[in-house]
Amino acid sequence: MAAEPAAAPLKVVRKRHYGRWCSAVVALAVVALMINSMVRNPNFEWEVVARNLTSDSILAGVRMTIELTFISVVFGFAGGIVLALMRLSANPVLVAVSWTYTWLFRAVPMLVQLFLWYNIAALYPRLGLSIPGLGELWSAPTNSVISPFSAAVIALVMHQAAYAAEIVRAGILGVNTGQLDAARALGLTPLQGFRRVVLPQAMRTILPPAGNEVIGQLKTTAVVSVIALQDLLYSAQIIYQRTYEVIPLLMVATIWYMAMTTILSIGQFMIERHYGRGAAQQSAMSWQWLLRRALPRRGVHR
Amino acid sequence: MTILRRFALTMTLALSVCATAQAQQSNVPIKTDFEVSADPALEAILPDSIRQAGFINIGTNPNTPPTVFYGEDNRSLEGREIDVMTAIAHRLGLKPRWNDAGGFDNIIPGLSTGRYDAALANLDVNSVRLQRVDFVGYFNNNRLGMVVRSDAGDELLTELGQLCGRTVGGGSGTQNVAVLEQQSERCVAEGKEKIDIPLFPDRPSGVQSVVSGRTPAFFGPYEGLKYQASASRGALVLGGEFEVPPSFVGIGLGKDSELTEPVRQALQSLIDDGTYRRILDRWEIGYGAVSEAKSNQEILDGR
Repeated sequence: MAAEPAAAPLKVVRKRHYGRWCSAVVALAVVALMINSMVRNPNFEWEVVARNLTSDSILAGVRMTIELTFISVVFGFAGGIVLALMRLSANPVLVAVSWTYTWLFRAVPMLVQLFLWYNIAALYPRLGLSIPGLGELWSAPTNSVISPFSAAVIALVMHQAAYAAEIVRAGILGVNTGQLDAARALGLTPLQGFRRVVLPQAMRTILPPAGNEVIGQLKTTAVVSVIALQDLLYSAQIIYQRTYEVIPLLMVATIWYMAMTTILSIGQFMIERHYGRGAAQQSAMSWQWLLRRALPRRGVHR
Repeated sequence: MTILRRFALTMTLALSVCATAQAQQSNVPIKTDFEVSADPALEAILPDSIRQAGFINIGTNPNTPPTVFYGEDNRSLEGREIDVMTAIAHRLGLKPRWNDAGGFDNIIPGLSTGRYDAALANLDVNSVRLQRVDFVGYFNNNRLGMVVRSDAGDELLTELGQLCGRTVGGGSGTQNVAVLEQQSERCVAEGKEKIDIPLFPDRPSGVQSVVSGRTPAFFGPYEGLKYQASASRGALVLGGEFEVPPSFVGIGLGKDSELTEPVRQALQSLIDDGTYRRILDRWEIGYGAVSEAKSNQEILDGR
């Protein structure tokens, strides 16, 4: 009885993804053709785009858009957090106030709000502070108190706060109430429990829609043209209303919006990674990980 | 299967909504009081495709009464641009089909893509624009105006030089703003303060900012602002009336369009038979009548 020869170690053979390679080649070819047709199509008038892309008025418009977006997002989300906490509180008055605010500012169109804040002097020509018994302490013409820029900021922040409130509320609702009970059992105060236990978990649910909202807000700011504020889109429109170079100037605005959206998306990715620590699926998220995931895998196929 | 059927139903519904929405913007009804006969000689010079179709597509942006606007019923377009272009179409033996472009932004691309054969939207003729579109000049915008709040208590201004150091709003991209900017440069050259010019995307938003005291004055075509002042229920008055060098408003057509010449000749024939004059008198703007129908560079050369 000869002993059976020991089995040779099994050779690992990589799985071949022929279909993947084929579909990738086809997709890349289509993309290349599209880019090529855009670049070579004279109707896009790329030389007009190039001439205007970094012109002073367009850059001033970019600055205006960034300022409006930044201010409205920061203050809007701060207001949204307060509104969400009010809505989730046990105090029925706070709940009602928060609900009404959100209802009102989601109901009134952005354009109407902007017009109302900008033209508020048509409704209230003067703003003043008077205390019964002491008379008027201070009063000034409304238009000198609320500048066009302030009017835009007020309208954008009010609008943003209502939407942010719902996003934050969804995030908090998504965390199991048992988490807070457990925090109490460990001796944390309700506030500590909220800050250290609930919020970090809620953030993972809040971030994707919040990123969406911020990028949406970037383009919502374009309504300020009706109050003669020159944001990015309006700066482009002012040029083409004079020269009729409509499509190339809209391309200029689009390129800038794309650049800003890209930066915001990268920021969102990094913040999500920060809050994703400890969540198994996201723990390995890094640039290398992203690249690895994007490129064909080497080694054993999982 | 039921899900599929429900999906199909929803899609059909959505598509029919699209179709009705589409129909509302194109072939908008109009109101005009001028009957014009067709001239076979002019029909003969039309491009074949248009003559066979029997209609002409016209784009407009109806937010500047009394030049072009929706009338009392909020459905029908009226104004001098409607009267002039409808008369031209009838003289050419064509039915005009008016389209609300939904804003100035769609007018020029609409001409380039052929969605509109012609466009009337208070289009000022200038040499930069002539590189992209054809024009037939039909009105001389040589009188500009300015609205102010009725409680501002200013006297009526008649000289552009009186605007130095003031804040005066204007409509973005218009010839009126170019006039203001040139005057502002003159102010600075004479050692006075410049003119501050907030730009508004359209006339309603600019006029509203005067009503609320945000902007002291808004500058633009005389007849339009006179109308705004009279429609403001006492809130606004005409605070300025300025005679400025000739500056022409045109009918826009696609670049090198075969329609440019027939439209120019039809306008000439309306000038000759007095219809053109009657239209301008109907809107009390006889001061801006052109004596001769011209197209493209000729409009600018004839100043």
